[in-house]
Amino acid sequence: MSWKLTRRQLLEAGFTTAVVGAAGVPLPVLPAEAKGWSWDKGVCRFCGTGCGIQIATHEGRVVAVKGDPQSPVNRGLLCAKGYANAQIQYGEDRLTRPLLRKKDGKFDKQGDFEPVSWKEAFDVMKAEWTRAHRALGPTGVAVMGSGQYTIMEGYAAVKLVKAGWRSNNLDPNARHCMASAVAAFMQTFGVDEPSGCFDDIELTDTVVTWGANMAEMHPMLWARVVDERLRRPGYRIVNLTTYSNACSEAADVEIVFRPNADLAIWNYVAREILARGAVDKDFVAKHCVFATGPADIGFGLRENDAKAFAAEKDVLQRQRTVVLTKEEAIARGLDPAGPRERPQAAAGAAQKHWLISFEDFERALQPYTLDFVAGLAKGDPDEPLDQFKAKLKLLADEYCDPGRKTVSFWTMGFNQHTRGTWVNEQAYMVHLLLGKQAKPGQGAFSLTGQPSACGTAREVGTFSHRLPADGQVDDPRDRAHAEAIWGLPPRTLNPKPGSHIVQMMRDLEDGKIRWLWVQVTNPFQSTANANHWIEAARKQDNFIVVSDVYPTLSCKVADLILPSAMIFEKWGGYGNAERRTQLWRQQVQPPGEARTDLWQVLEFSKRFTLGEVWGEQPVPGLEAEGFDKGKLPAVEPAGGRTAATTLYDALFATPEALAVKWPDKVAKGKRNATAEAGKLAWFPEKALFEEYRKFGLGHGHDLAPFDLYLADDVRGLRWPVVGGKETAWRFNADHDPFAAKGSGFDFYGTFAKKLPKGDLAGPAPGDPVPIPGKAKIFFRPWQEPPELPDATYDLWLCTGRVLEHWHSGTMTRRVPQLHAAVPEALLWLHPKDAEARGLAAGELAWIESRRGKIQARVATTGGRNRVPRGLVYVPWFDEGVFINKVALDATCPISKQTDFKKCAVRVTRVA
Amino acid sequence: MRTLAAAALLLAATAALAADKPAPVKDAQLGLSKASVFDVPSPPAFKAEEGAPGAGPLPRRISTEIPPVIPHAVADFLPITREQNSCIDCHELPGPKKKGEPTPLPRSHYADWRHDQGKILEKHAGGRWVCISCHVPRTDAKPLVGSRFRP
Repeated sequence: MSWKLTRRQLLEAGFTTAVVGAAGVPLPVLPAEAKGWSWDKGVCRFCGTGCGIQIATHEGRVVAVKGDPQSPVNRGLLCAKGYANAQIQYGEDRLTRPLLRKKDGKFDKQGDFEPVSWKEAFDVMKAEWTRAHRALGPTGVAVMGSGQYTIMEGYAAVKLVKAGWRSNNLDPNARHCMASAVAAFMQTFGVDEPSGCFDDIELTDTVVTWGANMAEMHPMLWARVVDERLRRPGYRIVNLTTYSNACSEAADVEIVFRPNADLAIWNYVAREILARGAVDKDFVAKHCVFATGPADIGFGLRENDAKAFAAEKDVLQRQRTVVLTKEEAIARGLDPAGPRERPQAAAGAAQKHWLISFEDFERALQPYTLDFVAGLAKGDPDEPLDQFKAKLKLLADEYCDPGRKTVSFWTMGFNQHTRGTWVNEQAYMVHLLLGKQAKPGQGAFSLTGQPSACGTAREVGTFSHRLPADGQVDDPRDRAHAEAIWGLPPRTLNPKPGSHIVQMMRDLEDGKIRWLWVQVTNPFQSTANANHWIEAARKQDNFIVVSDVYPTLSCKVADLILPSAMIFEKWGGYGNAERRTQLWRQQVQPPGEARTDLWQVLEFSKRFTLGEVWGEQPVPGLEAEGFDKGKLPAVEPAGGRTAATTLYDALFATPEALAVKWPDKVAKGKRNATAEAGKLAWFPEKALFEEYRKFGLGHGHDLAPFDLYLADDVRGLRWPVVGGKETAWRFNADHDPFAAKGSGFDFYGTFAKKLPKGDLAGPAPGDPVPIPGKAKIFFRPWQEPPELPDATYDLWLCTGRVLEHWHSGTMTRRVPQLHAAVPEALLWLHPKDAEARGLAAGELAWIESRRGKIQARVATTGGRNRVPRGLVYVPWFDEGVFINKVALDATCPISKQTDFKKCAVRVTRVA
Repeated sequence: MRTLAAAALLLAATAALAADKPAPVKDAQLGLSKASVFDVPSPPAFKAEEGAPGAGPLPRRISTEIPPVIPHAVADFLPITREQNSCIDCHELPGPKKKGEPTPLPRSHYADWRHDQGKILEKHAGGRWVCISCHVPRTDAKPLVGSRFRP
């Protein structure tokens, strides 16, 4: 990244109006344009690709954005959303004042929104917090966070909720996005996040996409894939999906499979690897063990149906008992003629697993023959079976060829899956068996959806069970480590994991959470089975605060709306899907009284004293060594703190933080809205980042100092960063300084690295065996999802995104050209299914499930998706086509991530 | 009609929020769908651009820094596959633009920053093959909310 750019090159890159000095001026000092614009580097607001951008500002406004030719991620290119980074903050209905529901001059849940001062907003917010906390303790309050939090915002939220309130009820929207990827990383490698990086795209020979429509969801990564495919005739693309999508247009092979059959296809590939003798025996013997876990784990549905709609009850029953189909019995190696009723006995212990022998693993794969798998996996009823079989065989050929490098990419198709953790693990199963993992151009690679799903949600640990740098709240060593860094008395941190984001909604409905603060997300639009949650929010006794930049659907159900600053109105940092951390400077000021999310957390923390939150607290169900059952002990403030010390002083304005001064020369004259609004002489974003770094240093999560990321010649760095050097391939001793020298490969993660031995039926008695440095090859069986099309609800529903819109559309639908391109969410329906229902393209249809019904306009042929008969696709960006009222809130029982990709619906004509 | 009504409501809401003694705003008036969260709206009809290439005048660009939208119908020209790219077939012209001819790819599209440090190639850079990743089609849908973006 040290090469210099000439004026000519800049002009050719599209910087057509740039004024550049003598040849050889490096890009970082991109000169002001003739128009007087000034440019600074930044990162795209949208997906997990993390494209580098250059931002132009003029007279206090963002005026343009360009792809950064120096960024190794996107080399000067941006997608349609990327260019809109310049426009997203300028919608005319930006929120600029706090809004509170009021009647007769005071807060009333049934009132309408009136502008209030920040003081009044925080006064009411605090009074309501105290009311919920007094009634229910730390579990009665919650914060919903985000994979779009900046690193510093997420870290501040962790401190406020976990260290301050001693609650673990902090969970991000990233739970909906890549929790399954996290769980599989932890179970397979003992540590989170990918071994590979985006360089693999150019280094590999075959790209296999599984449930990843990169062409629409990661367009600039797809541009790299297509570029490489066009350059190299031997390069191949295989697209596995449940409907024909935009990736199919460049793919060499498209495999349309039946929803959930991905598990069976992986097992077929693994069986072929064994049958063809394609196992990398040396790699497996040195670096891997075999494992499995319980199969009767339920579907993450509610355990009781007290609040269920009548129509929901039959599906909820499958959380308790499943009657296996004949195929499901065969897939588990059971006698299909035997009893097939299975109590879901391991529903609460889905994460348990144990070691098995290679022979057991091989035996478990035996049912997954080509005939068996093709029979259950073919997704397009109009495709001949022989053709489908030939494609599966070709897929196995691609993987098994020792002469070809292979990368498997996946996104929401795997992660949003009631067997999401399993299917992620199966990808590693195949790559590990082949020795095609953690090598340049080879590996199973989980793509993330959000810009800082990795950087914030995962690395900072804004999950209800996590602490920074892969720490777990239920691990006493991780708690002690966090307490030491944060200067907390021992046993301050709560050892019981909090509610995940889906559970928070269920808790809201059950009255177990009565105070909720939503930050940088739109959960009432994005959570499946939404009719329950909007009803609970509006009609029960609770208090909901939503911080956002525009009035979102969640704002409409809120009691208090707080106006926030947008990405370039604050300092921040994101971490992308390849472990690349990228920081940016604030470019412009937030409008009106809008404030940074970080300022909101700091300011709110001033309203709590240690005496109020660090006394003995009830935590129902808490059971941990060193703690009394059901409660947290009172802890004594120490180190100069007293019961009257505020959480602000105890957690944020610490002596170390105050020593990080604002203004700072790294700002190069840019402002800081957090410091200005708080009248601070310290630099909160930098202080928090430097403190957060302490968690990761020395064990493979190493981040560089704050200032290095802002250096002119840096375009983000992939952690671990050791001695200023980034790491492209983890666990590979040639690249990763944490892999033991001479080991070749070292899967050094420490989570769940002592396991009992057992067989396919379960663990055997005996002491757990340590497996340091090893990755696990899991056997996981195929199973049907909890809800299948039937006579009443006869179609599969798959939901997702479109290229032009980000998530719930709150930013991109306010960008004129993006809205005009895709003005509303459509129902993609096969022409024959449309005809059978008397529907034509453009007409209005009802989409109805057991949980709710909505309307959308029909799209049939043409356009970007071609669905097979029996399946429909509806994007979720459009609050006017509220598809999450219809979708099912089943989750992976291990990761707790919702399966937004499959449930059963019926479609009828709107009369 | 619906869009107009929505715009009027939005103006009312915005004005209400901006005034010193504002009228309270109902939740249904907030956001992009002027409806209660319990309502089930009927999404409005819209029409994709139907004009043939060159049939109408080019729309004014929002900014020279934002890729121009596709001003003509796209149905006949998609999908872009490995073998077939109708956009490139028409638009890969040496330039400058001549009246009555397709808009030529700008010079930036020939620079390869991935492999050649920005060297200008004879053909467009491979990373730009999927034109619709950056250039969006259009419909007759009117904006839901005004934009204060000024380049």
